[in-house]
Amino acid sequence: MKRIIFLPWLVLTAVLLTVSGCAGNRMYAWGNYDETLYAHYKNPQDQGKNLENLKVLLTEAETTGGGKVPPGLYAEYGMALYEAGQTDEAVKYFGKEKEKWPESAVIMDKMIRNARQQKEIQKNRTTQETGPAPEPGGQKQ
Amino acid sequence: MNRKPVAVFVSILAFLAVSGCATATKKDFTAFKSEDPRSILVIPVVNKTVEVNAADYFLSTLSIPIAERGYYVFPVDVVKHLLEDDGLADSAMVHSSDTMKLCNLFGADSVLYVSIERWDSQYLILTTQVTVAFDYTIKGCKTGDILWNHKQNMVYSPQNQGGGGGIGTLVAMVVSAAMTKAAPNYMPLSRQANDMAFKYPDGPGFPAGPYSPDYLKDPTTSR
Repeated sequence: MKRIIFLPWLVLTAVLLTVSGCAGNRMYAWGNYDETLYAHYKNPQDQGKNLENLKVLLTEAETTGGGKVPPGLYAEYGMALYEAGQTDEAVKYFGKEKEKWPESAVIMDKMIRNARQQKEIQKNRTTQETGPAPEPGGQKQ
Repeated sequence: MNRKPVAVFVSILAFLAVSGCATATKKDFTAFKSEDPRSILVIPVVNKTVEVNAADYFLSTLSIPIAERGYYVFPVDVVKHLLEDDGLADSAMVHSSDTMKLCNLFGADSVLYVSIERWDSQYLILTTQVTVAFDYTIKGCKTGDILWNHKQNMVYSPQNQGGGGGIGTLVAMVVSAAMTKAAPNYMPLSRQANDMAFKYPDGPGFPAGPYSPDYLKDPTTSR
């Protein structure tokens, strides 16, 4: 008899312990950020997929996540845009990271510089009209 | 209603609650507090084992728990690219390069070095058991000194969390072993190791950073 009353409480306590003790409430809306990063390392060629994944994470963080965009996410999205050759958009997101997280200023300034240089290279190539699509990442390896 | 599955569930949760949150150890945080870092640069993980995917699994799981401790974490993928631009494509090279150089390159307040010391998978009949050991070190950018160090050992097996035994556990083991064989996913392992290592103050972790509500509310001094 006693066990029947006792058991639900035990379950509830165990659930609370697990949730509060380990996961806790998160400060930021991460979504599956770590899985996205891992997928990108496993399959670095698929830049389109990475860009798409990061866009979903960012949109979710800004909307359903209540604007709790985690540190690094604007920058990672900017990086994916940069790799896709969308340099203007990339500069915008590097700027957002810097604005939200002043600690990132040194590397975001560097990335903004890189993106602008990349844009110049793209411009020069398109004026030549003939050559293949520009290699977005610049020199690789 | 059959109460047996509930009992198994409870014991799994109880185990998770206890094991997921490691035991407390006293550490000296004088250097840590005097440097008072706002940001942590997570550099690529050095892998001293033969498990080729271990470093990627690990690197991708580090940002979340550190940011949740209240620090700015540099975007690891951007960091990877900038290091490559600087001729530091290999993680061992990054780890052996001058801490101050890394600090200046990124404008960081501190650097987190992680190396995977051990990753042994044992394929048993019903389960896969992985024995892992990780070494975490944070160095400060004001002095280059070690601010925090922790060696995390763990035996990971998604199945050994019951302890209650019985047919329910056995079924769970079979299902779980089949899943593990189909696609070994070490994301939970990496997350669990980090959770254990960064747990604070009831664990071996380090004090909260400026973005955390716990910042400067450090119980270690009053304890």
